[in-house]
Amino acid sequence: MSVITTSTDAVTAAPARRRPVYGIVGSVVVVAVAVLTIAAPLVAPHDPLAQDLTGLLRPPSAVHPFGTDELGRDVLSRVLHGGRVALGVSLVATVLSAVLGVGLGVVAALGGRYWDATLGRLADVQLAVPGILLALVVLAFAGSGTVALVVVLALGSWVLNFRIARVHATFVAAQPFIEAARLAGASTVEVVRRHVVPALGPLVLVAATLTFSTVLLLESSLGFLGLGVQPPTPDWGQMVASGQAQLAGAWWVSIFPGAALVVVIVGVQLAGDRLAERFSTAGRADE
Amino acid sequence: MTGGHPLLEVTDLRTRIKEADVVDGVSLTVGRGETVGLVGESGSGKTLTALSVVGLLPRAARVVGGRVALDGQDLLALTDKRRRAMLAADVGVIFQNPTVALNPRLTVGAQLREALPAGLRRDRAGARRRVLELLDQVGIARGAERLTAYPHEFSGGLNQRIMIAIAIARSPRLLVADEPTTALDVSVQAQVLDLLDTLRADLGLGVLLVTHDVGVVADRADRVAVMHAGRIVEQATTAEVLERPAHERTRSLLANVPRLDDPAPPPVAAGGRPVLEVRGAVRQFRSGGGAPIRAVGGVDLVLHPGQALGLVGESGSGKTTLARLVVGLDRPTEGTVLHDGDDPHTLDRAGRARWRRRVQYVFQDPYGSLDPRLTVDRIIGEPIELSGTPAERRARRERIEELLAEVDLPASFAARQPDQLSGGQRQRVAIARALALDPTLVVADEPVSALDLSVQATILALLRRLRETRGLTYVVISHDLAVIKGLCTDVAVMQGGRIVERGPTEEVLGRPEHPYTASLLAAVPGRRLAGPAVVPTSA
Amino acid sequence: MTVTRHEPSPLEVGPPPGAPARRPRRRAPLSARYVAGRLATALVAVWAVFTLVFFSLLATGNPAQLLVAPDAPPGELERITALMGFDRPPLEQYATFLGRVVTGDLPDSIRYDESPLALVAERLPASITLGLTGLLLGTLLGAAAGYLGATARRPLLRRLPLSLLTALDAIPSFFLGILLIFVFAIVLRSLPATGGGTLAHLVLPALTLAVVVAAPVGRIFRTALLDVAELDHVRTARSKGIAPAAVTARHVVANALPPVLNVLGVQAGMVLGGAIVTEALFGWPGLGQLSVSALNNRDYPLVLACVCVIAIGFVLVNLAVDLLAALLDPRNRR
Repeated sequence: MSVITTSTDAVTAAPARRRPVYGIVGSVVVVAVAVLTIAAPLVAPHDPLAQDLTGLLRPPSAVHPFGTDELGRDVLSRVLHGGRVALGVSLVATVLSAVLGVGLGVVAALGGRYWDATLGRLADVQLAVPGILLALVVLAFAGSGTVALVVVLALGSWVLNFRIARVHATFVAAQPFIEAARLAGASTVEVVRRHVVPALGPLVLVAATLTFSTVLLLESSLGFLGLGVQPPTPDWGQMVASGQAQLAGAWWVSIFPGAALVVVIVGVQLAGDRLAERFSTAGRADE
Repeated sequence: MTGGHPLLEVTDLRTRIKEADVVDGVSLTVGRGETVGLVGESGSGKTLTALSVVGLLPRAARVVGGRVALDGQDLLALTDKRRRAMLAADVGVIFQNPTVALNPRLTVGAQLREALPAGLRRDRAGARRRVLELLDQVGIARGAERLTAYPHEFSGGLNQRIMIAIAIARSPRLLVADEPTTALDVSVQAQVLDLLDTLRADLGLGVLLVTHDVGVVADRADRVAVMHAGRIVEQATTAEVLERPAHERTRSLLANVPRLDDPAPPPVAAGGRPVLEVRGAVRQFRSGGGAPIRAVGGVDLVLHPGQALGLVGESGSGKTTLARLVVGLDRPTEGTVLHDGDDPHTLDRAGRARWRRRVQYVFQDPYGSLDPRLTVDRIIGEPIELSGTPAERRARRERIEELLAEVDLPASFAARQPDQLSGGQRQRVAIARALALDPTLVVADEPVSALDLSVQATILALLRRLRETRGLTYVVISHDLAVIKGLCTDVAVMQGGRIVERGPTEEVLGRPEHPYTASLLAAVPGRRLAGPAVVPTSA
Repeated sequence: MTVTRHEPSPLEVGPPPGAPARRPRRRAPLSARYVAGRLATALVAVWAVFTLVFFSLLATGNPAQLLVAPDAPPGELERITALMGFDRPPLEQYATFLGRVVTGDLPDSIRYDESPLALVAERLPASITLGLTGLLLGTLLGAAAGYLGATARRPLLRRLPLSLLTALDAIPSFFLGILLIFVFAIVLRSLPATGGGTLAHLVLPALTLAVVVAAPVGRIFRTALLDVAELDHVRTARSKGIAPAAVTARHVVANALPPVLNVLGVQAGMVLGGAIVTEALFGWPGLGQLSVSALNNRDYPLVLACVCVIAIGFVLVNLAVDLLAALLDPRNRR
């Protein structure tokens, strides 16, 4: 008997699903890079700041696996140390952004019409100011300390968390089980603690991976423009920029720190996709 | 030349989702000018059978075997293109929810034109004439004015008429209607079904009517096919199935239909202080710039201990808003709601906490009313944790076991999460939660409307038993008069935010005084099912 | 994550057939009130940027220091301080500052000794050219990849374009630019690495920008197409027997566009951010490059002018996308 498909619409592709293995690979990569950068002082073969004016722009070799830069510094060591700054700053900014976004999102969803309108407007305004512009202004005029950088990165990314949290918290708040809890005598704070926050958990985690990518991208872009972490402290974006002039003769100065960035961003995205998929299938089982 | 074949002949149809045969060898026929009802509970495979016939299965499902012959021509043996052409020419389809079955971005006129045969579609004037003719045929007046409107500007009933016009636009010989009136109120339902009957008679259509509603089938179908677990368990003329059901599934299906001729619980004499007193309650909602909408427009209601009041009315009549006022989920714009003489909104903190325990609510949707992340234990225990006395909190564990036993669930269910429960089990958990603090008044909003008939019957039995054993006072909302009849001592009929008639159940439903009550009763499907004795004569 | 939002369908009940249809009241997003609201948000956003600039300036102590060239004669600092009113109370300064920004009366650029607005105006066309080319190219690439991702029958054609875009999108703009320069300008020597003026110069920066837009547009479009294709009204259209391609074009694509527009609005900001980086990287003689070099030269009047113009431009783009999305929905037209 022949198999007959009766679905005749042109849109036939079933949603492509990444196999879980990609997510595992992504998580492993992220963890590996994190461990390597945290352990940078132990594993880096050279001092990231030590200049060697006799060995400028050496191509990759056994002594300098990633070569040396225009001041003769070891690129591998600088990449490892540079990751500490880039990842550390991004992580702190991501946490700050998530706390800010989710907190305000829950307030907007459950705090009544006034809060919702005010915070929604605030988010609109924030969205209307591109993150990089905000960063340019603050860092250019008010100086480029690490704290300023973290604040700027968090301000540039909280809206995503806010919107996701608000939409989902509003959805949860409209569920009959929230009214059931109120009938059981729960106050708004108890409703949030018992029902809303647990419901937001998985989503916040997925949003955090997205936020982290965005923040790391912004951080490295600022570094590239010379507005991030100031030299001589190594930073990936800044290293890519300093290597641009040597691109024709010494590609390794730019390419290795850039590749490190790409590896982390891809890893985080794969892990995030996997998380999102797991939670969405879990959600479907609920129906 | 085709006279020997029935209009539609389905033989041993099998449709698969993943590895499961959700339609497992279905055979049925539909003759010209005949309505065949396909009934079954949710998950029985009736809708997938219909969608297999018309080639509109969702992506995950596929037909793996059998024959679907239209006038003797096996559709499944044709190429995609030929099959589509043949289905388009001869089969019209009507879907369940008309509000989402029409494209929100195209005008009604454009969607109707699109349904015309290709030749006619190109002739502007001819197409327009035909579209107007179709609108006239489905009973839509002033068709020309409606053509430029969008579906969101119409009511559900009107949109379903447009769906029907689309279905008959190419003069099909077969209509497949998948739950065509489930999303509509009873009075609109009756009109839409009348229209289908008229079209069948006038155009000589064969109609395959898929529905879960035994009453609809009893009234409208010439023959009935009963589906269960992907198979047809019984197929015969409607009269035969109703009078001499052969299969056990059919018998239980019929037995579980709540009937208007069931006796109502005896009236309870008004005595003592009223449990609930609603005085001149008004609830208005602001609408975007326009005049405020009066969902509840001045309701007075007194309920004495032990009474069970059924609130009936069509959607939009204000029954749910009233119920929310009663349990304090909402405040009246004007008027008061008193419980045992107290207005909960003026009570102090401690008073409010005491009141909170006396009034509980059972929600319509057993899926949404339980937090999917919590265990049954946590769900039933929540009111005890939040509003219980210290002694109650200490005895929480035993209390939950008692409550589970009271709603006929094993104690082991305490560890389960809602997604491990069936719809009926969820509703039992919701009832157990409502009973956790020993309330005196329980308000139930459509407590069984999301459930299959067999489950519905057991939940109704549970609610009846609890009223007797606990001496509860009920307010029950239902669009289904038969559900109210079996559960309530009194009935209040709501229309447009007001109570138009109130009295003991047997009197109101047996001898309605208000014309609206009479029209509601007249529109209830299942007259042939219930037997002529219960059809109100005074209507 | 679910992207499309479908209206919940209340089991709405109307009057008996034959009676005039009741029009459900809904908030019309395209009313004058809505447009005014969007405009107000835009104005507040621009004002917020100005305020931010002001307080950032204030945080430096005496902003006059930033406005005086390092090699200025002695006494210049005091002159500028008095001239700009930096010795006044902060609130008064703020008012003066806003007044100056609104009227465009900014001090001359330190480096070029010219009105910064004139400098900005000079560079604006190059930026608009690059931005629009990137946006357009990205939208087209993304839409094509998304459409193929939802409709192509061959698995390779369905997956490859979108996967490629997603992979490229994971590369930060500035590094993608470096890679493009490395491949096309240094290894292949087929395109100029930096500079502006000719069409050849436009290719690499436009491509870099396009990727920023294309990947999200492609993903959203694909998801929206698949979501919409599952909706009931598409099943109705299929039941009418019209050709599958016509069903997709008329009923699926049109209903899948709003989320794409939504993303475009959000991405406009990314494009702008990307443009600043991209222009700096490719030496494209536009606003982004001007602002970065102004920053490096500590030419603050010029930075101020650039920031204001970029903020206004971004707000305008967002407004346009918003209004277009509202206009496309017939439910908003009455």
